[in-house]
Amino acid sequence: MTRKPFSFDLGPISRTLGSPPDHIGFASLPIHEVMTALLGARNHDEFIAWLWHDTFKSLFTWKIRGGKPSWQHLLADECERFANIVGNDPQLVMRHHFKNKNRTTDLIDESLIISNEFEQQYLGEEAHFVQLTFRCQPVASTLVLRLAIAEAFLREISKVAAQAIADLGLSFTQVKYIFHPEPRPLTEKQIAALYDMKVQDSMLEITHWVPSDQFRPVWVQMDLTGAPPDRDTPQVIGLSELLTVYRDDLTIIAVLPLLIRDPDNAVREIEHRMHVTALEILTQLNIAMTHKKALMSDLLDVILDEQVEVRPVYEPHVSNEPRDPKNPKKALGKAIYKLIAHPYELMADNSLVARCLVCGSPIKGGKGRYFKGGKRMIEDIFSGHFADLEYLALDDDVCPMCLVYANSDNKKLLRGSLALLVPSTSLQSPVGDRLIEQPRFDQANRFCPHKPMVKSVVTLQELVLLTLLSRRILSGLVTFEIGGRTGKICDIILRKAAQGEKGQTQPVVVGKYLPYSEAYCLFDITAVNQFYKTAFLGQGQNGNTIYDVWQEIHLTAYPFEFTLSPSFTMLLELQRNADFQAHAQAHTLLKVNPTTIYLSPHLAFHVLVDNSVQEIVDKEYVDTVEYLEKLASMAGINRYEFIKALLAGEDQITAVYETTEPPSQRQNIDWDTLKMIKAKQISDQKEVMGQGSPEEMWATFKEQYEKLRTMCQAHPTLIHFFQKPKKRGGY
Amino acid sequence: MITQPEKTPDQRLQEAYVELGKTDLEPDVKIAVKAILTIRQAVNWATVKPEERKGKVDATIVKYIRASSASNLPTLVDEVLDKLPFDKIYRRSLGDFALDIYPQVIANEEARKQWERALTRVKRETIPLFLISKKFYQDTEEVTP
Repeated sequence: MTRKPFSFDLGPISRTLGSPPDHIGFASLPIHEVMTALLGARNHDEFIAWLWHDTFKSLFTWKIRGGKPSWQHLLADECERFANIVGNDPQLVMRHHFKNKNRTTDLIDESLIISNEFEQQYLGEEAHFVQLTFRCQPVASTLVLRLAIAEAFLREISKVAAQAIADLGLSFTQVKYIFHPEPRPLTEKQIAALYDMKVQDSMLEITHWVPSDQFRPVWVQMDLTGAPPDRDTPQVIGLSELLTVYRDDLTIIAVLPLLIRDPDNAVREIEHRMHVTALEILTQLNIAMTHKKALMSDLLDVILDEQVEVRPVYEPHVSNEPRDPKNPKKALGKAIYKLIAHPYELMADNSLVARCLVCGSPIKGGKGRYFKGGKRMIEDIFSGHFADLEYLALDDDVCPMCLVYANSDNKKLLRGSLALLVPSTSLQSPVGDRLIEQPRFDQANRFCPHKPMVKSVVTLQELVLLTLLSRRILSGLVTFEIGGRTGKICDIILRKAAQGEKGQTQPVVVGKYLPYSEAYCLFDITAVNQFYKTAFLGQGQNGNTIYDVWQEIHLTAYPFEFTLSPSFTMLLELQRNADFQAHAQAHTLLKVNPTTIYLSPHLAFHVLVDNSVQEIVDKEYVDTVEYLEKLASMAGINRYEFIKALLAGEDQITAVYETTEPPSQRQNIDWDTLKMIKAKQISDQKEVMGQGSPEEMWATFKEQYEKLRTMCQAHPTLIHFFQKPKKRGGY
Repeated sequence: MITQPEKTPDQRLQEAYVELGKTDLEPDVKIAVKAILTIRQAVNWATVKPEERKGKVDATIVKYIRASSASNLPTLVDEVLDKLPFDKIYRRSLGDFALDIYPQVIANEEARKQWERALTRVKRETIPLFLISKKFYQDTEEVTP
């Protein structure tokens, strides 16, 4: 099986940071252009101007100005030419770096919307955001519910932003950034003259020429319609992706375009529409928003009112806002750490005097606000068979989200074999970078190979890029067919063998795909196992090359190449050898938490194997499984017992001897002889004893046996990952 | 036509011992292989049916070695030979060759440890050792004296 590498290229870089120290911003030029339009445009002309304001940066002309390196990208003639094409006032772009700008007629200062979030600490001071926050613990049992609400939020913010853009009356809904290499020894002016911009078929197309023979051509397209991102076209970026600045288990921070004149009203509208959208999504997910003992008939409204907050984030001059130490009059903007901590601020509210018995989240009121329990409270919440008391607290009430979880009608989706996969913004350090070359017109030695930049930094734009990469990584890892592209939630389809028809398959719905957040919910045991085998064991179907998680990703952002370790959030339960009768009542999701999976050879994560076992999986574990499975691939042995024998300390040959299946009637051989034949067969493998002189064979045997023993000793519980055969010879 | 002169089991075993002696295998492995060779050379291959030569005799020997609870190598060899069918075994003195499966100098601690390790190997790694032993002594080359 060959591994497919994750490799991305979204265009050349748009910024460097600091001088000195010199830092690299790895978000691409197209992302920068569109982000500034969304964050800083106040009208039709400004929106278009932002979309191309840094176009000529891709010439990489650097000169020393005022003793410091400066990126010369405002070529007067070319800016005028471009402005004429799209009907802009050329001064809008020409003056965008001027110090004495007019606040009403010039483009807003970039440092007020996007450039002051250096080192991932602050969001732009003048920019508007909207934040979705869950006032609850990030537990596994409410994850699906939170995913559905997050999907509703992203769908509605996308619609509101798309409507605001549509109201501008632009002649295009897509923006395509095209970059070509220009290897000829032309001057800067000659190359700049090749740059082109045109509007055709609802598409604004900007063509750049990068003076290099090592630059590889690339294009990136921005879809401003508000449609969900298309997972099959990774070079097309959807509006919901551009709007999502930060995402974790309990909060999403999204851009609220500055175009929207009344942000308060927009946020109220998003909040209002979420009630309808979330209900629609939950219905499609087959989640009942009720509980037989709940005091309210519709739990969704209570959840959205009391456990979910949607708020605008745009107050620029709050008195306690952090100030720039060099210039105390200047506010630094909205501290990201404060926004990320907001769910915990909400939970620390003194008026929330009670605690949810299931998840421990602080809730209003006290006994009997949401739930009317009798003397047998646990039975009333769950059922008479509930046994996992050790995971419950001693409180008197249950939060609405956990009541939904506890509804036995939701058993199939919320317990049992499942894989929940959600994009994440997190990035694991360190980040590696390599300078491809020093750009031809870099006269300031900004990208000098002998003076490497100190490090890469993550700012607002990189956060957007990382979430965007996380989404694409999940698209690569989840290989199932996705049905329907209506913008609503889609079926995840697996082709299973049709019963009674040899060689025929039939499509089976094995989960749901949430297109705006690009989250996957698999709840079918075959599909979950297939995903696990593909993404983590590297075993694809039909010998295809596949993506797996044991690799860092490569991001090309000329003039750099980066090695990154982005992530996604996962909750994985395999249900391997579970007692199915007991499993239906075992609340496995009370025992685990979602894990952040960082793509890396050093990754380690938890998997709930069934209702009794949770195991940490790492690369060494996967190598052991692969090795054992290869050994166990011989026909005629009981694979489960064979692996059990190896884990118990037997050598490969003896294990085969002991686990050879009895001969069939057709074989006309006695069992003992068959065992010896099988033992000889496995001994011939080079991973066991191989061929050669007796010394060579014995040395190989000893070496391989020692390797096996070391691997098995490190993973004594590995047998839980292998399914017990249901009948003779099965696996 | 020149007929290849047939060798006696003792000659075959002697040759196998010489070949084994030339190898770099650890001393305890050599002793363990010798114990298995000593059992195999006692088989009267002339009485073994062609279909049984494919593995039945080997399988039987392996089964009895693994089932043995003997506390030393000579007892183990003796137990296995006792259990093998009477008509397929030469019941005769094992000769000088069998001396190697006894500790040479009981007072020599190193020799005693080697011998104990060899016994453990024969019991735990029966089949790998059996396969190695066949490199020195193949049943297809064996003949009845």
